[in-house]
Amino acid sequence: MEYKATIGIEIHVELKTRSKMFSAAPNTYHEAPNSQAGLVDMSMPGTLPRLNMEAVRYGIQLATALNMQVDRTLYFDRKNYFYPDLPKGYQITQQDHPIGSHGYLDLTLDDGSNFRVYVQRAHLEEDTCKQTHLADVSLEDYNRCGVPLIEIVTEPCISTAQQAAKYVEGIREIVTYLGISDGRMDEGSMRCDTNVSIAPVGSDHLGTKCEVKNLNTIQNVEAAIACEIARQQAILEAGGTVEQETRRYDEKLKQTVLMRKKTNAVDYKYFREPNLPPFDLSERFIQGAVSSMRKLPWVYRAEFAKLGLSNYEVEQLMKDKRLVDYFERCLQADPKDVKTLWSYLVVDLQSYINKSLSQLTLDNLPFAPADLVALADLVATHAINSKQAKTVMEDLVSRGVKPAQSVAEHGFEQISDSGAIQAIVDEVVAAHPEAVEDWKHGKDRILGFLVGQVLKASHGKANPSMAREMVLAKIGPMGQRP
Amino acid sequence: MERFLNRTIKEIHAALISGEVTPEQLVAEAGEQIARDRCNAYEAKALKSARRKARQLGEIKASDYLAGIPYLAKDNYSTKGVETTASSRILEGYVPLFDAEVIRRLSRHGALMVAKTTMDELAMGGTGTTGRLGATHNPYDLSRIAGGSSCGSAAAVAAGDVPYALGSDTGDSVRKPAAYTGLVGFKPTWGLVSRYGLLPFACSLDTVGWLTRCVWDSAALCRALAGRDEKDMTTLQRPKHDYIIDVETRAGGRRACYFPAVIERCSPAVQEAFNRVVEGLRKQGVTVEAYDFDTALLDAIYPTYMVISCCEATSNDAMYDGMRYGPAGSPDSKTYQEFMTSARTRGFCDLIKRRFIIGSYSLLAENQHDMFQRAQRARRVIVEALNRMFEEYDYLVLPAAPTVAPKIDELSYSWSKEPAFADNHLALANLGGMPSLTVPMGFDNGLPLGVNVTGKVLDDGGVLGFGQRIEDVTGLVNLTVGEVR
Amino acid sequence: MSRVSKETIEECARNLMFELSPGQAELISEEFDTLYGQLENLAAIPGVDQAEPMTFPFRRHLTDADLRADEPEQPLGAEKALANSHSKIGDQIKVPKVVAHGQVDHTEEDM
Repeated sequence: MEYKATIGIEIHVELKTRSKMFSAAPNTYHEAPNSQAGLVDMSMPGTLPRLNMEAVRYGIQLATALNMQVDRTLYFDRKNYFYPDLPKGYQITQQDHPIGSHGYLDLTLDDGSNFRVYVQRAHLEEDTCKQTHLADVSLEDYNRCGVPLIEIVTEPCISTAQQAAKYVEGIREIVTYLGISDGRMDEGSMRCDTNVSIAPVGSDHLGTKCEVKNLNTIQNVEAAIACEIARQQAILEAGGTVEQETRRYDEKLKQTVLMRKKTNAVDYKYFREPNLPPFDLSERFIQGAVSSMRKLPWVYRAEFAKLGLSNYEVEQLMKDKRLVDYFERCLQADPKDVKTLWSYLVVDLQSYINKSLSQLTLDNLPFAPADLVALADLVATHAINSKQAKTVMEDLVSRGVKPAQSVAEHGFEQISDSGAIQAIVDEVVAAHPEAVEDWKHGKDRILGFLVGQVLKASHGKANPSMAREMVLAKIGPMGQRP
Repeated sequence: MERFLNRTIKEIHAALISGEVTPEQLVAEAGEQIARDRCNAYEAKALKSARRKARQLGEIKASDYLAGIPYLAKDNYSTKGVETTASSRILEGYVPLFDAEVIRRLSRHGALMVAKTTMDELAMGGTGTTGRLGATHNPYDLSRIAGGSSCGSAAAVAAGDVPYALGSDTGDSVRKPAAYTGLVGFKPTWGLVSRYGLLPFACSLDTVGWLTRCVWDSAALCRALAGRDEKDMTTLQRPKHDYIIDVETRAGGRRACYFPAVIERCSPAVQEAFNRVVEGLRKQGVTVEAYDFDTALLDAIYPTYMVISCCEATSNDAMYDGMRYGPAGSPDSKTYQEFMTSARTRGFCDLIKRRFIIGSYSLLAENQHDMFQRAQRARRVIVEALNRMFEEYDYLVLPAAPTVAPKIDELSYSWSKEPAFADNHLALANLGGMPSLTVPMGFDNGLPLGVNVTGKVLDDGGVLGFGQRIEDVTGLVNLTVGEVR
Repeated sequence: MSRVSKETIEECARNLMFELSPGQAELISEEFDTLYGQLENLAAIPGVDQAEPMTFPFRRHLTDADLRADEPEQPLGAEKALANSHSKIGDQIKVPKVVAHGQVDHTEEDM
């Protein structure tokens, strides 16, 4: 029997605001445990929530990017449960009125096929403490407690592991391009849970779903869902039934493993948060948030394609928002050839940065984007050759020497004046009559020899392609071997 | 030795200005009074810091009415450096890192907090007997309650220990004790005064409140404490307002009504005192008429109030888990559940555990529609009926309690089978967020009786002005117990 | 027959992380019976079933201008933040080990 999978995805995105969702304590990462918490985060009795304006703006921006309806009035609810990472005994969330609802995201698989994921809701809420589990105790770090979160929930409309991974990648790209989150799955600033069920093709019932939690890379999203589909299919094919469970993906075992059976769902006793009155958002506020949105990934893709970059080149750039930003700054310097610029940025400069022993990044380079453009332009106009370009690059990255200066210092100016090259060609040909004779008798390597002599006589400055053309014109077509 | 703290704020202020007494002397007097307490009114003392602040005070200006004068705060106000337990074992030893906004504002006005006062545990009660230190007694008769939950504040102010104390009011927790102890008790409009640093009971009903010995003093506190606080998003943005002028000019409307059904259910002495107040008001040209408020809605007050407050409380008090403050869970715990359970089992009294269970059960998804949300719907119907009444009348005037303070050994702590609305109607002002003031109206065998006036949302000045009219009628100003019986 | 059984009440108590003293469950069960009667009375009041549930005592809407500007304030620092805790190791609060992969009674993740 053939089965079809139905997959839903919940993603928690930590927002990159300066302060927390309902607390004015700083929103930081990598700080010493509990050094960043405020009174509200510690749930000190009598403290009250204060909603962060920037988090609301980010919520509007994300909802807009996902083609959602933005709720014009914000309401907040309490989700009540006891857990050591939840100091108030409840989480403030948006159960009844998510800031965004009924959206979708259009995506393209690697094979070029398009699909659409329907997004049910996106709501604002707050993060919990970070827990560390030791041998016999768990430790609570309140630095993370109260960090703004947006939870994005899809409809159960995804049908393959590849689509699911593409969707998660799409969300990650959107939040990082909007600049509202780091989108770092490895650091937990973006966290992903999925629900997977399978049913026979043609069946109008959904199968029993299992939740797979804590997927911390996009590869794991794809692998875990693929494993889970296979696991459920094996159960059904053996005549068994799938039980409703919460599972997690074990990277080493390369399979999903049971966390707990879902017997009694927890009742979260949701009710409206009485300490936060509803907030009516003005049209002006919403429009302000929308109009200050940064460029979305698909806008960049269209722009780069229009510049003449190939699909591959565009995707290499898109992998890293910082590269895109740098590329955009380079474009302002009006490069002569975009593909050459792309190559020097994405290939050469990147490899320098990767190899550099010092902490070199795109943000602390010792030169301006226009300097990289100048280098690319020298190459694009054949003013220097690629070997010379390497030296110029070295000077630029290691010492911040401007390309023009570097070229002058190394004497890399090429002779592109046809009269000057012609004079040398004439001299060289006249000085090697025996070679010209060999050429006439079909010795093909003579051309390379003569061009080499021309370059040597010009101290390497003659434009090689011009030299080659002129030598050829001088000695005529190669003769037949006797 | 001449006493000052048994006078009103206004009188003590005059004595400070004239140099008759100094703030340090007042703090010393408060210390002596606290040491003589026979009502069990006190939690932590803060005399040392009060003395220090008294010494540091500069010159007291003529309109700094609160400067240099000692006061008390109910133990559910967060006080920096002073143990704050809300009279619950769950918070024993908790020393807050911050002052509640009202404490901060009083401090800024030069007021001197000398001690914290006992209360019903976490403010969930109306008897003043459920706190960790046991029952608080009424200074007029130690065998009786002072009322709750602001019992210690009421008992101490009535005993003349200080001229005023902060309380908090969720159902009637300032205004009922005021009636039982011969004081003026005010609950402002919900959102007029910041709740930041008030340990929550039921946020949608909770208000800061205060107990004084005259209406003028209550207005002076309102002037000092009202105003938006960005730390409490429910506070209202209001232009600066001088409530003292409202009191001095008897501001506000002149049309009042009462509910005959409530009056009928009061003791003869209460009815008599109330009628005298009504007659006096009429002589002043105030209209006081009977208004037939649906008794089904009056009966609805108790379950509506109880369900909503229990539901909010069970959530608010979930923060007490033994991890960050208060006694920790048992060190032998094997799981976090055991850890929290051991802390909470020891931390809460039976009464509030029962209330938490009722609240929690009423919030379960399968029950919420018929329990919590039904109470929330009933709340709307009650409040809308009340607002219709306020279209015709400026104020609702009723006896604050149907009898004198009950005896401690005659109390019942279980859910009322037949709740008497004459005993519960003060919660109307919490359901609707309205300003509400209790003023003394007489005595029954030496025990105080109070009358309550409730007005429209944000007519706090009018309610205080109307309260002053009542005070004019009764002449009962600055009542204190001479000798505690 | 009680509307809410002793077992249900005890389960509620467990979920609220406390134990009840002897006799309390029975008492609460009786209180529930009283409450249910009162709730039926509420339902009988004209208009109650149709009314919108009321959270705030009066209509109170804020605007975007009331939102908190995103400006961080000084944090407490670990020493102060943990000053009142009696369950800590170093700069962190401790509880008995949370069993992340066993029988956990709710669905939050443990990142």
